[in-house]
Amino acid sequence: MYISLNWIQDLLEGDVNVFPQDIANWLSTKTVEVEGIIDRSKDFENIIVGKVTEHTKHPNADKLTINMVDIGQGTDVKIVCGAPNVTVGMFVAVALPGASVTWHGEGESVVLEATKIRGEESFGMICAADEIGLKDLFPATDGIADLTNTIDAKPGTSVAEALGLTDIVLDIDNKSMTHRPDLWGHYGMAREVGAIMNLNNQNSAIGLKTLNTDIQAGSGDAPKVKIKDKACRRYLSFTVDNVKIGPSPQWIQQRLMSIGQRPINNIVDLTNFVMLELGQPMHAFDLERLDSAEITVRMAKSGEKITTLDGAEHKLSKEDLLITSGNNPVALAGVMGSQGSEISDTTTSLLLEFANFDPATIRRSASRLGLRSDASARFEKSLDPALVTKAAARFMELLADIIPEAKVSSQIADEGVTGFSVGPIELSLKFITDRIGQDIPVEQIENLLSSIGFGVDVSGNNFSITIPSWRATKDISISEDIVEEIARLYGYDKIIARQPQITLQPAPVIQSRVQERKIRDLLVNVVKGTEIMTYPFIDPRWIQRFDEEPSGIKVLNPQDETQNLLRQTLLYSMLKVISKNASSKEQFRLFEIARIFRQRPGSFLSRPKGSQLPDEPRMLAIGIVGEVEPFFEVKGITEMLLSKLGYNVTFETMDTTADFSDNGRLQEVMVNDQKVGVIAAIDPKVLAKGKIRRTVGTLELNLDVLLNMESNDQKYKLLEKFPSIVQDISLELGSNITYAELEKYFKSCHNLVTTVELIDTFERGDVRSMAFRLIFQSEERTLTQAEVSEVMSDITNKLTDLFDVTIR
Amino acid sequence: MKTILARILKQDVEIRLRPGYFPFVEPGFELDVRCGFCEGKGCSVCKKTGWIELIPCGMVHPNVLRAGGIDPEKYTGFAFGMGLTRLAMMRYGINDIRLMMSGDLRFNEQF
Repeated sequence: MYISLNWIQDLLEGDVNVFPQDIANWLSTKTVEVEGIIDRSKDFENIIVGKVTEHTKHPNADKLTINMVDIGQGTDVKIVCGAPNVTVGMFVAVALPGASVTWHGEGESVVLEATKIRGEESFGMICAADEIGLKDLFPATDGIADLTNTIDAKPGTSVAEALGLTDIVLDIDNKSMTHRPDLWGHYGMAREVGAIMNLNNQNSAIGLKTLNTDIQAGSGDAPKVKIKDKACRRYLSFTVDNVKIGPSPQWIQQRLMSIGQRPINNIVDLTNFVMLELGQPMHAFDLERLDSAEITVRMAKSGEKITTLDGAEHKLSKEDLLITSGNNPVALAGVMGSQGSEISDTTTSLLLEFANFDPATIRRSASRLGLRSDASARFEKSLDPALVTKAAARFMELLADIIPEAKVSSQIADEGVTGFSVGPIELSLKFITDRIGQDIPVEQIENLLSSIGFGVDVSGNNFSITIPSWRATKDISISEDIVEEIARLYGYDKIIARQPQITLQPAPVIQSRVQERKIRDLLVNVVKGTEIMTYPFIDPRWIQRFDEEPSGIKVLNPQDETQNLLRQTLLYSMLKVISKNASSKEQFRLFEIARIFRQRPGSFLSRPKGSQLPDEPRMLAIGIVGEVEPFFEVKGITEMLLSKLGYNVTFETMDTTADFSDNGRLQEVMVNDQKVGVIAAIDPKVLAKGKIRRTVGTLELNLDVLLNMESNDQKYKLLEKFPSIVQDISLELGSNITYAELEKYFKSCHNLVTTVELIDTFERGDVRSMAFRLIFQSEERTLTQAEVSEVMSDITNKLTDLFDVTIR
Repeated sequence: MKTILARILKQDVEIRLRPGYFPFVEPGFELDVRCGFCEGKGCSVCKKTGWIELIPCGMVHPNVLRAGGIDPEKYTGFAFGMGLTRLAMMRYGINDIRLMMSGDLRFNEQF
């Protein structure tokens, strides 16, 4: 929101004699965030007032003239001009070399240079109104802007100064004003500025101009106003006669323009002016275009239509509040008027609306219909109903100056609540100083609060605070709110930063956190993996790329379609990252630790309704890319990881074959006979669907389940006293034999076999062979080769009996 | 906060508190840190203000304490919204927040 400092000065008694930067700093540190300071006169840099002293035809061009212009610099300058309306004695706007202008008001702005036009020198340019952005202030004429009757300034004065357009505008971040409906107009902002100036400087006596609240009623009947829904909290209305539409006075146009509001005509400008000054939106209907001076405020019927002033047609719902007159909707309450009853050049009488609405209703409608306006932005902050009379009085006060004949022709209709009251709030000095953490004298607290309009009643060390109506609609209601008012005006920079002194105990160790950190450590430093972070959402179209049906908990109001499902596995997100990097990297390893969201109840209840929240387990996913044997790699990593964490891991073939695995390379990861995860090599045909042309092996493991299990503390194992004997055996496998079953066999074939290792594999066409190393060890004696050979032949005999293998 | 931030950012920090509005704290603040890129003189990172908005914070609103089963007459609380991404950006000089979730390994592998 833009705040004009000239306008602020208008509303304060006493000179606001400070640098804009200081005001911006004070406001930012005590009230709202000032994002920028705009110097409006910079728009008119190098554009000055000139007086034409000579005017002759250009010798070499029919349509051009040569003009001598007094620009207050001693000697007159020569400027060539193409406009037909230049005369001697005329005051004009001269753009000097270095100024920015737009040719004939179109296109990008250009920087002027002294030049020659058809052989005659031309120092700068005599400007038309639209060439220097003054189209709105001067009527469109064929030619240059004639300032003679508009200004009272000597040649050489800057145009900005001559036209009263020197203004500094503060750009305030709207988000920092969500809780301060009173600041959405210059008056409320002036109150803060004045208060801060007085608090900063004891000699400062800035006062806030008081607002009139009297409206001189007319003799006619008051408009018939019926409020049918409490979403309209107040509706004040009356009619005005003898209106003549025309341009607004210069000073009103200047105030509006400086904050970016385009002047339209006197009545429309006044409605905007009142809103921008007091923060109270209002509406003016052309009384003759209404069926009668009758207003009903009601909720719309489902499907009821309205065409708003911007020409758009909207279909309404039962949650939209409508202003109607007779049978016609005349405005979407608090948002925008409808076509058909708005002010036009021929309007002579008005029906005025000064109203107050329930913030949630206005916000919902504006948001749903995509119709945010300056009015809805204010109503949705919860305005003070008492503001309505101030706005009405101000409107009539200004109208009296602009159109003296205009008069209130009816009595005043005023329905609904006149204001809200909160408090008084009682609190003690101790409550305040405890929270602020610093001693502040009672008088200073009184001073701070009364400077912004709070009533303070002191008795001993206790305060009774009366809340002004403009702060009573939502921001101030409890003692803590008062503490904030005191602290911010006192100055947060004055609160000394001190370390709190408290007795602490070391936090208890959370074992699952320790294990998780160990996992990351191993995966990064040993496995050489890179951790990735992806969103909890998954794009359903990515899942469909793999010819799978997207499923999962749906997001009700997603950012966009790529974020409308909560993921049920980490693997799709991982595949996305792999696809992004696989073309530029041959080999890499990724992991992610994050939650997934299952479509079944979990162990937590939601508050306050106590329904079951979905199961959201923390998972670990690993992706191995570009290895020759991705399945074995990922299996090896899983084994290493889990055993280093102290878990006994085994692998089992899964009952179902998932479609995505490469040739059935898919196994369950088991710890203590409980399934904790799945490892797989992904089928290259599946990977190709995601444009991944490298091998991929994956692990997905449920960390919540795993880390809940008891892990084995590492315990020293006595070193073997006796030497071991190694026997290798090479096998050619039949077509259905798996490594898993052979490993299982060897591990349990004899109690002297303490270790089984796979030391080699070979595959060519149909031929598969594996080499195993068996280590024989006894705890009681040294074994002999003869003994071992005998046991070995037992093992191999049983082996060939049980399995379709050939010893090589 | 001064101490915590100094340890995280590994340098002395100058902070300031200014009013901020968040429904779950009262009073509510914005905690700014002096811009490290331009040492407070004003640059594009801190939008010429010399300060970087870092931590929305405040004292826990009594309604929030009550909803959590805590008596606000007996206890008060501090609430700090420490955006880890922001802090990481400041500590390592990362200039684009989207890099963190992008999955571009040229970024991930630097850390």
